[in-house]
Amino acid sequence: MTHPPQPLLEVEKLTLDLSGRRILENINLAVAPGEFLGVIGPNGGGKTSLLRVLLGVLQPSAGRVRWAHASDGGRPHLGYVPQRGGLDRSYPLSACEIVKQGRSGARPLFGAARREVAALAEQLLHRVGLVEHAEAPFVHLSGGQQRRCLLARALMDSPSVLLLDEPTAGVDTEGQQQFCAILRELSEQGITIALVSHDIPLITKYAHRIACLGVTLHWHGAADALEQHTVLDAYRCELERYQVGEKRITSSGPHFHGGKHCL
Amino acid sequence: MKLASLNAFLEYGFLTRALVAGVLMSVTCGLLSPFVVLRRLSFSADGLAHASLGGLALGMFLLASGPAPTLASYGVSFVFTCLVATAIAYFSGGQRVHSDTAVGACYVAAFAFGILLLSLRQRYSGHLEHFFFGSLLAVNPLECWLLAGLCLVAALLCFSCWRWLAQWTFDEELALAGGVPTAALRYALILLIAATVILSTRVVGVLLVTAMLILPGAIGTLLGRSMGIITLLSLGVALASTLTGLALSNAADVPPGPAIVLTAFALFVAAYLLRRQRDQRHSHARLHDSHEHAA
Repeated sequence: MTHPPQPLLEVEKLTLDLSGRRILENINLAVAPGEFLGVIGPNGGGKTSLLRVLLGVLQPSAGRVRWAHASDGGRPHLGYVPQRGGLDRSYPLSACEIVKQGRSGARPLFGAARREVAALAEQLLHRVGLVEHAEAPFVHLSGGQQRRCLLARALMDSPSVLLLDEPTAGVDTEGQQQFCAILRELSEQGITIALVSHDIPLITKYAHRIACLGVTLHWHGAADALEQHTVLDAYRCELERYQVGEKRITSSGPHFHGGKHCL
Repeated sequence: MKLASLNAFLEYGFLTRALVAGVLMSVTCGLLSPFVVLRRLSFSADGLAHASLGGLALGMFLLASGPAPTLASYGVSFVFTCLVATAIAYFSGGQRVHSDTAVGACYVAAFAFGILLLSLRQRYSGHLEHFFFGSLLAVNPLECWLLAGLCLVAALLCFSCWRWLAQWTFDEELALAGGVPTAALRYALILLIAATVILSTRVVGVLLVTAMLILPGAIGTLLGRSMGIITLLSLGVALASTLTGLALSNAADVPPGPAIVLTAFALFVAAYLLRRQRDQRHSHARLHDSHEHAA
């Protein structure tokens, strides 16, 4: 008899209030090691806030977050790729220097440790396809390249969990596919991933499971079981057309693909 | 203060102190400047420089001191400016007020407070020239020791928090998520800026001290691609500006403060032109590569 794997992350009855506003309410969520979780939901639905609670940047008003195999501070090693805003165009540091910043610690590195970090940064830049841009200023990279650079940065400390906040927003389709393919590869290597995105077709193609957030947890289940009404209910808006894995969602209601009931 | 050679700096005690004070101020400003520039704290530094007038006036008012600041008057001025710095860090720490607004609001209040106190003690207004333009040749041993202590604290902060500071300059939220104590760094940096402003006032004057907290770092960020190179460039520029400014001051019989700052500005212009040339060369090379690739 096989037991299901113990969850790496358990979120229990999590509620978050900020400035008197309810951001998250009674969220219950469990994520297994190596799982690729996609988090979708409308703007203001609490997706970024959930990531910030998981990172420990925000403290929940009620409920708790429990990590298995936790290291320092009650959390495993977390890698974080933020939602990028407009970075100052004159910021001078090169892509390679930004990646090196991902190695934790306060003091400067010298000698062998410095060489080791430089070699690892180069290896990770190679992995995300940016090794030829290593010396270019980070702000000169395209949006997609910046996200891949930040992914390499997040991997510097060998995290067991990666939290990503809309890393594919504003990136062309090819860049999105490349990015998610790298994430899927990392997930197959045992890294647990939580990816926030508005791109439902993309996220359902790569993620194992989906959590649909709109202050409360509307739905949580396997990516290929996501239904149109769930998305509609969470977004509360007219959806022109969404492709959900093999299924198609239209605003005109459910329809069929190959004789199988789709959305 | 026209002198024949550098030997005079070593021969006369007051000149030696001026040189030592200038070098110590350069090292402190050179270390802090990259973080001031990259964290966009230039306006904060400028605001604190102006706010320190309030502290100086308070020191004069409470202690009725003469033109040469005493340890007690430095203490009053430092505590006052630190309070202004803390208020700025507090207001700009949340997301209710933009940092520029916080600086603008706090420094004008402190400046107005200073003017108010000075108007009550008009007999001291004659000494304000020293405050505005510095009086490097009047630096006393106490000020040299205070500058040395400040320089040591700045160096210790930079060394012990080097990579945290670098992460903080890139993205505050990302740094926070990585366990960097960003709030503590903000307070530490702004308090160090406050102390630097007060102690450097004697060297270049309150109107010019901001330049030494901005120009070296600005030159470093124009030419460097890593924090190490940027900081080394910043230190080099700050030292070169001070030494060249002092030499020019001797040669042309002009006040040392403006000579130091104008030297730093000349280096800034040179760095800007160098960077522009480098960018043009890179864009030509990229264009050439893309043409070759297309062919």
